[in-house]
Amino acid sequence: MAVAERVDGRAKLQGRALYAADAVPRPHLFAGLVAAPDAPAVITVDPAPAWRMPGVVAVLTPADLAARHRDARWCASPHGGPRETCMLAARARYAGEPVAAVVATSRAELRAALAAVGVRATADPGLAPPGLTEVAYGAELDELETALASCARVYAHRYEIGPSPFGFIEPVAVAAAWDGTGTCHIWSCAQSPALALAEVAGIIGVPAGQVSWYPTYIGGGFGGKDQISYEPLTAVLSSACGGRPVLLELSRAESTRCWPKRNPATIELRTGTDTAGRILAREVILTIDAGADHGHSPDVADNGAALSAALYPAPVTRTVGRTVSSPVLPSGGFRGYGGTEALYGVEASLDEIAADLGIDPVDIRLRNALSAGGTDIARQVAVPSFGIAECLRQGAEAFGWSAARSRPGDRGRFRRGVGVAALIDTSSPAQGPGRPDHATAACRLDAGRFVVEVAAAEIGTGSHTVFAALADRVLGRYGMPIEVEQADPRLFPGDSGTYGSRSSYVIGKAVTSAATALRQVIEAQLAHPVSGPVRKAGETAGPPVGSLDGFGPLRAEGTFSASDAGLVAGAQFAEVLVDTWAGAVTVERVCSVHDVGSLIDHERAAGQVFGGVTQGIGLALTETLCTSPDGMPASRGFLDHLVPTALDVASVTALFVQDEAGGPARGLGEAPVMAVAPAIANAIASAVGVRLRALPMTSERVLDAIEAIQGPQEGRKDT
Amino acid sequence: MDEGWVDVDGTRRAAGTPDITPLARWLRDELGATQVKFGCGEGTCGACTVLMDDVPVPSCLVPLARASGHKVATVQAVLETEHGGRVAEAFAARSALQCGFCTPGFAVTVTYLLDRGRPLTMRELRSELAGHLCRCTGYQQILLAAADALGDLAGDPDGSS
Repeated sequence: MAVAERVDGRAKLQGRALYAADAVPRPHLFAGLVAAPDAPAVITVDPAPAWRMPGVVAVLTPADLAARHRDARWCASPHGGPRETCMLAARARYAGEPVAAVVATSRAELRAALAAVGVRATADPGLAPPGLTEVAYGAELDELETALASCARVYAHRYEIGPSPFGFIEPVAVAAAWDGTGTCHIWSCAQSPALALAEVAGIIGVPAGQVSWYPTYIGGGFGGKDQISYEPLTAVLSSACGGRPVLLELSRAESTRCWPKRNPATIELRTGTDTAGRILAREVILTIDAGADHGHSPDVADNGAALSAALYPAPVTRTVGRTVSSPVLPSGGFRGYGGTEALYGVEASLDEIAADLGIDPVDIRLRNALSAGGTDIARQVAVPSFGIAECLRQGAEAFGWSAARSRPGDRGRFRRGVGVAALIDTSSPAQGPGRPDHATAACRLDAGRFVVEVAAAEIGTGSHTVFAALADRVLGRYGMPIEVEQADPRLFPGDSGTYGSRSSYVIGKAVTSAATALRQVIEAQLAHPVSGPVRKAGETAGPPVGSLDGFGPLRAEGTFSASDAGLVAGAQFAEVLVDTWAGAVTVERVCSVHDVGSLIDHERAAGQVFGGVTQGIGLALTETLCTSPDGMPASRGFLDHLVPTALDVASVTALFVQDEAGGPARGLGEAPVMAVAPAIANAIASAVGVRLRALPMTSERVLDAIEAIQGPQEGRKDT
Repeated sequence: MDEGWVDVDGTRRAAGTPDITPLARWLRDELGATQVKFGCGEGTCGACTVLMDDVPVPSCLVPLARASGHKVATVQAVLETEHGGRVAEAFAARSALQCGFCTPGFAVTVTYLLDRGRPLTMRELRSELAGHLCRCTGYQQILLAAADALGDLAGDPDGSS
C-alpha cells in the first residue's frame, strides 16, 4: 500500500501545522531590523531616540555587538564558504543589509521605534565586494579553441536571467528564547536545521548541546530559506531581554528587498558541430551574480557548470562556473542550484542550432545527450543509468510532438508554437567517495505505532509522506500506524537538511535502513520470527503478521551514505500561444517527463512536477525583482513579483520513466522547474520566428522583439 | 470608552478600543489564532483569508475597527461545517497541498463557494481562486479538489467549461 494521504495534510488544512512564527511561545516580544539605506557605506547608528520610545525593550547596534564580542562572521550558506555575514553591519555591503535591531512589546511600538533609530550612511566605495570565483570542467581552453576551429559550424550565443525574489508564501521568521539552564531555544524557517544549529551555537558561544532547535514546518523554501540568517541575532536580542521569547518576522517587502534573491546569471556558449548536428566541441560559461557576498553562489555556479558539462558529453567539452560580485542584495541558491540557470542557455542554444541545421529539436538532443554507460565529464565517473532518450521519446509521443511541429504556421494575430528542452539534475550533493552525502534516521515502536524520526524539515515536497511509505514497505506487515516526526537535530548532527533533491535518494535510504533494523529487533523478540522480503511499491501489506501488543518501546537507527550524485534525466515539452499584438504569451500545455529510477509515491511525485513546472512558467514569463537605476531593489512583494496565479497555469502532464532494473528512487525536488523556461523560449521562437535571449520573457520584451524584426503587426491598432 | 468586540469562531472576543490594527495581526498576536497564516500583509496572497459575515476577506487588510461588531470565522470553524468538511476531504484526497501555508486560505474560499451555491465554470473557478497564491502545487490538484468539493456546481474539470 502506498500511503494515500499526506501525513501532514489534515494539520495543514486546519491551520494546526505550526510554522516558526506560530510555534514561538506567546506572549513574545517583537523584533525588527533597520536596513542600510545605501551601500557600500560606513554606517553610523544613533540608538538614543529609539530608546526613548514607549514599549522599547532593546536596541542593538554594531557597536554593542563588537563590545560584547558578538561580531563573529559566518557563511550564509549552511554548506560552507567564506565567512562574510554578520548580525549587524557597521560597514554595509548592500542596501537592505541589517544595521540595527529593535525589540518592543508590540508591533505598533516596534514600528515607531524602528523609525526613530538614527542611521547615517557615508558612502565608501573602498568597501569593495568580494572578488571573482571560478571553477572549470573538461578540456583546457587551447584544446577547445583548436577543436572549434576545425568544426563545420560554430555557434556563439549569450543569454541572461534577471534577479527575482524566491516567492515562498511564508515570510522569513526566526525566534529565540533562553531558559534558566542557559539553553537557547530557536524557532526558524531554515531548510538545514542540523547544520545551522551547529554553526549558530558557535556564533553565540554555547555548546551545541545547549541549543534547542524546534521542529517547525517550512512554508516553502525553494532554496531561498537554505540560509543561516537571524538565528544568532534573535538569540542575542532575547538575551538582552532577559531571555524572553523574541520573534523577528520579516514583512513581505523585507522578504523581497532584504533577503537573498534568486540568482541572476548570464550564460555564454560556443558550440562546434558537424552538418548533421553532432556536437564536436562546446563551451559553456555560466556567470552568477552573487551580489555582496559569496553565500551559495560559488556552489551554484559550480553545480551549473558540472551539470551542463555532463548533459552533452562532446569529444571536447569545457564548462566554467563563475561568480562575480556587486554591492547589491546577495543571491541565494534557487531550486535547481545553477542547473536551472545553465540549462536555460544550453537548451535554448541547442534549439537555435537545430533550427539553423534544419534538424528536429528532439533528434538533436537524442544525437548528443549522455546515455547510460557514459561518463559524467564533470565528475569523471561512469553513469549507470540516465534515461534521457526514454524521456524524450515518451514525451514526444505523449505530447504529440511530430504532429504539433508539422502544423502549418499561424499567420494571424495569435500564433502557436511548441518547444522542447532536456534536463539533468542530481539527487544528492555527493561528489564521489571522498565527499559523500550522509544521512541518519531512526524508527521506533512506541505506544502501538511506528514513528519515523528524521532531522529534515517537511518543506512541502511530501518528503515525510515518502518516508512513511518507505517505512511502510518494511514495517507495514505489522498493521500498525506509521507517523513521521522531525527530530531534534542534535540527534542527527551533520544532516544537511532539505535541499538539493536529496530527501528520497539519501534520507529515504536511511529511513529504509532504520526500518529494517527495527524489524530485525522486533523479529528477534517475536516468539515466531517472521521473515520475508521487503515489499516493492504497490504491493499490498496483506493481513498483519504477529501481534506486537505489549512490545516496545524499541528504537533502531539507520544510516546511508551516498557517494554518487544520482544523476536524473528529464524532458519538458511546452505549447504556447503568442498574441503578436500585445506580446502576451500563454502557456497552454506542458508535458514533463522524468527518469526517477523507481517511483515511491505517484501523487507526491506528480505534485512536485505540477508545482515545479508552474514555477518554471513564472521564471520564464513574469517573475522579476524590480530595481531602481542605482541597483536598489524597488519591489514591494507579490504585487510586482508576479507569481503565477490559478489563471496563469497550463495543463500539465507528468510522466515518469522508471528503471527496469529496479534502481533506487532518485531525486525529483528540483528537476521539474529546470527546463521549463528554455522549452517555453523555444516554443515562442517556433511560434513567432523571433528568439528572445533574456528571462523573464515579459509581454513588453516579446512585443519589442517581434516589432524589432517584423515591425508592427498587420491589423494591430494602437489606441 | 468604546469597548469593541468581534465574534471569532462563535465566541465573542473583546477588542478593546478597535483601531487600524490588521484583523489578521490581532487574531494571531492577541488571540493566538495561528491557524490564520500571515503571508504578505498587502492582500495579494490570500493566506490569511477568513469569512467576515460569511464572505471571504483577506484579514490582513481588514482594520480591527472594521471587524468590530461583526462575525469572523477562521479556517478552524469553517472546516467544522458540513461544507467545510467536504472541502477538507477533497483537499486531503487530492493531495492538494504541499508546504501548507496557503492551504487554510484556499479551504475558506472554496467552502464559501460551496455555501454560495452558484454554479461555476472551471474558468470562473480559477478566477475565484486567483486571489490565493500557491507557490508549491501549481494549482492543478487544488483546482481538482475544489471541483470535487463543489460537485455539481463546478464545470467539467477536463473540459473547456
